[in-house]
Amino acid sequence: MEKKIIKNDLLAEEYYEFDHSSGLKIFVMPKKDYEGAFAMFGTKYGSVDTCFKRKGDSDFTKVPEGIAHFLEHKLFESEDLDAFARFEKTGASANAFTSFDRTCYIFQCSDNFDQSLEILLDFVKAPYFTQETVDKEQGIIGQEIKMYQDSPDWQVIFNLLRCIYQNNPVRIDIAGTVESIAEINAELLYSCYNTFYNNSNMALAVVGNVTAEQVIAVADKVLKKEEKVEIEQIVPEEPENLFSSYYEEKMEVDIPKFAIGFKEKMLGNVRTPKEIACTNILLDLVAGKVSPLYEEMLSGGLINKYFGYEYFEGRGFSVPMYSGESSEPEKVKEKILERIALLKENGISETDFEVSRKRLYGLQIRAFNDVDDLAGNIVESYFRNSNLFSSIEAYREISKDDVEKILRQNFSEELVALSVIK
Amino acid sequence: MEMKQICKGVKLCTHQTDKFKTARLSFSFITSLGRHTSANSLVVHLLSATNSKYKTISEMNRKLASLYGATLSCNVSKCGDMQVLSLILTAIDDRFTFENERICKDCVELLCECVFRPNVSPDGFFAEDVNREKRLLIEKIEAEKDDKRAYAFSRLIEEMCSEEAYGLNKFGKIEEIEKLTEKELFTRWMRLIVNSPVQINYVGSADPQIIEEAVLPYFVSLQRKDILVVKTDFITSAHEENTIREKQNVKQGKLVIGWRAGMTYDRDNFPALKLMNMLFGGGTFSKLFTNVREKMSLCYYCSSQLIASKGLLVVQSGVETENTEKALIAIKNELEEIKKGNFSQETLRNAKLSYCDTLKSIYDNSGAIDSWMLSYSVDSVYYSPEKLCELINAVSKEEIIVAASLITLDTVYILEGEKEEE
Repeated sequence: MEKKIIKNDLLAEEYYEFDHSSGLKIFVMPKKDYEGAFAMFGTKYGSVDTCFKRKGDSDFTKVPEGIAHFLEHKLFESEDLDAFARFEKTGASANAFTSFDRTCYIFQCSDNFDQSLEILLDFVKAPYFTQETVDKEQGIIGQEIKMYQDSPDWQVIFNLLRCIYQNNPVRIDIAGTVESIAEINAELLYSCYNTFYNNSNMALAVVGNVTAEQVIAVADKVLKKEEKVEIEQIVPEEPENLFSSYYEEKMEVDIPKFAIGFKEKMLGNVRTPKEIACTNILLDLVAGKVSPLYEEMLSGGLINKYFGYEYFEGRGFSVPMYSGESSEPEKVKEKILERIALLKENGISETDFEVSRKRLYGLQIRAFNDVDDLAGNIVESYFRNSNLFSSIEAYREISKDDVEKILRQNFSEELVALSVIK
Repeated sequence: MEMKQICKGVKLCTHQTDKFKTARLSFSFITSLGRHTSANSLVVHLLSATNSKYKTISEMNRKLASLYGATLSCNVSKCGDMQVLSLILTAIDDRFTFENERICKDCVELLCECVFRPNVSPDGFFAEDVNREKRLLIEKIEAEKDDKRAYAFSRLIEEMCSEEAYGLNKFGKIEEIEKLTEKELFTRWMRLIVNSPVQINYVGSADPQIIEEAVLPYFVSLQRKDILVVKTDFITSAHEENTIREKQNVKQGKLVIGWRAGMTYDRDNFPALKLMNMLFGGGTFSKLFTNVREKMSLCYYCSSQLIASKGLLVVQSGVETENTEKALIAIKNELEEIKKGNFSQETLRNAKLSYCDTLKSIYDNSGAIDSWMLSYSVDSVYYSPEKLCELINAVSKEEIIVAASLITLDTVYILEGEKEEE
């Protein structure tokens, strides 16, 4: 099997990429000076994948909201011992998560790595659903959904996405609703599983005190060759304008929470590392901690320490976003728009650009400290057709002109939405 | 990990390693919870915002940004009846700067200036800074209410320890914070740097000698004396059971239960109690997870934790309001099972494996190393993670049963959802 080396000289880091005979992409980043290892087994399948078919099927399947997350919960079960019970014998701590565009199964351990990896690969590749186990899970997930509904920080972001997008499935709650998950049955779960959990749609990344040979040996033992599945999806057409520019929900909060976001035109499937770096620098320049606007709003009592920004993006969606707490969210929005208008008119100063670039580059470097971040970023970057070092390289390369170009394209005053919880 | 006393009441703990891309330096004052809690927490927030060289938020943030996104934050925590006030600085290692700049020394200097050279006049801190930080701190305290899980937990502690210093909010009281004057805060700062025990932790690639040399002159000029003696009161068993009920407009109710663990000091019977907690509700193999959550499907989360610094055992869970009583009985029942010795040697072995695995992985995260050094050396007995692992492995089933038999129920806190009216 060919071993491809992906490296970065400045960081003195490298990792290996393999095309395993089973059809699975495998990445290994050995780190000898670490005590433990972290493994992530992920599929490019999340809450936004709601309507699909396999090549050759006659009809598209439209699935209930929240099914990807439901499937994640169910995979931990099997006919005899569930996955958690199996990990107990190795001492590893295992978990899983579902996001908008991927589902990942993980474990971290210091000892017994081979056994734990075998369990991970085995349980994810051995689905077992019956109507009885599906019914039981509806109770647990119903509780989880309610917990999210009580979280104003979570709701304020979702409400914003529902303002920005009219049809994009990112509007859907990742866990679905109590009603939608009631429609889930074993047959639908198998249909999703057989489509998206094919080796060709997945990736395995291992980082830590292990060797590539160790990982490949376990993969050889557990994984069977699978025919590649070609997936066709129906992505609803998204109009250019907002669904709504304002949404307000009442909840028990002391200070109103808000999120402000800009609608952008998506050309490709995902944003490139360069686009992401430029947008983050812009968000920083407009109202990040280094900006005069941040101090003005903080000292003026308009925002508090919970103010921050994020370029909220993934497969099929991208929203530059500010969020926080304020008694006057409308005023925060106005201030941000004024500052954007000023930057559009006067351009960006070279010094300010450099300060933000250094800051954000430094923050990227931090992601190379921990084995869990590394494994997560390897899988994520692969699903985006880039690699672990792409974002570091982007920050080293971009210029002020690149950033100004994005400023002119996006951050439109007509396409800004505000979500408030009070 | 190395530890040394560098001056009266000042401990320097270091862990020199080049495996991380960043360095982490923390500076902690250790003081008693009590009448100065509010003032202390406001002082440490002031110290982390500006100093005499970088007098405004923008100046400070720009300085940090130019140090490649160095972060400076403050953290206030409770450790038994002690209030621990930390300033934490993290920055990328010199190796990764664009043009081989040396930023490490600058960073150490910056942190020292924040601690020892705040922006003050002979009359005290400046009103503008004090008012800003007062508002931010008050809003931070208020925001704790928005996270219902954390809120329910802190309400339990407040009720259960209402007669003890530990019952205080770590940040203090809003009414007290509002009244603090610039002059009082200045005096408080002086008391902290002159009289309170200090612990400085460093994790990174630099020679620990550099840190010592940079910090020492500041202390020498202070003439530290009358170092505060801090200690924690332990209540070994509960007098009577108390139940507190509250209603709020929430979709999911919370049930939090507090026991006295029978400890007389923070290391008393620690390994046996730690394992007993793991078997009870500290992992996926625990009774609470496998029975109350999985088999009975009663809650989304249900877990226990041992707060050794105060000798408390606490269970947190999220439940449907109508299931609260059922869950309470089930949880109490599981504890009785442990007291009766109804757990297998195999589960005990798995719990040991899992905890020792976690202990080893401490070395893979600089934040975890920092917390370990801080929490395990605030008081007299220090264990390395390896030492604790040895002690854990030596615990027998009988010792766990004995430890469990000393646990007594103190307080139950229930947060109920209000019935929806319409």
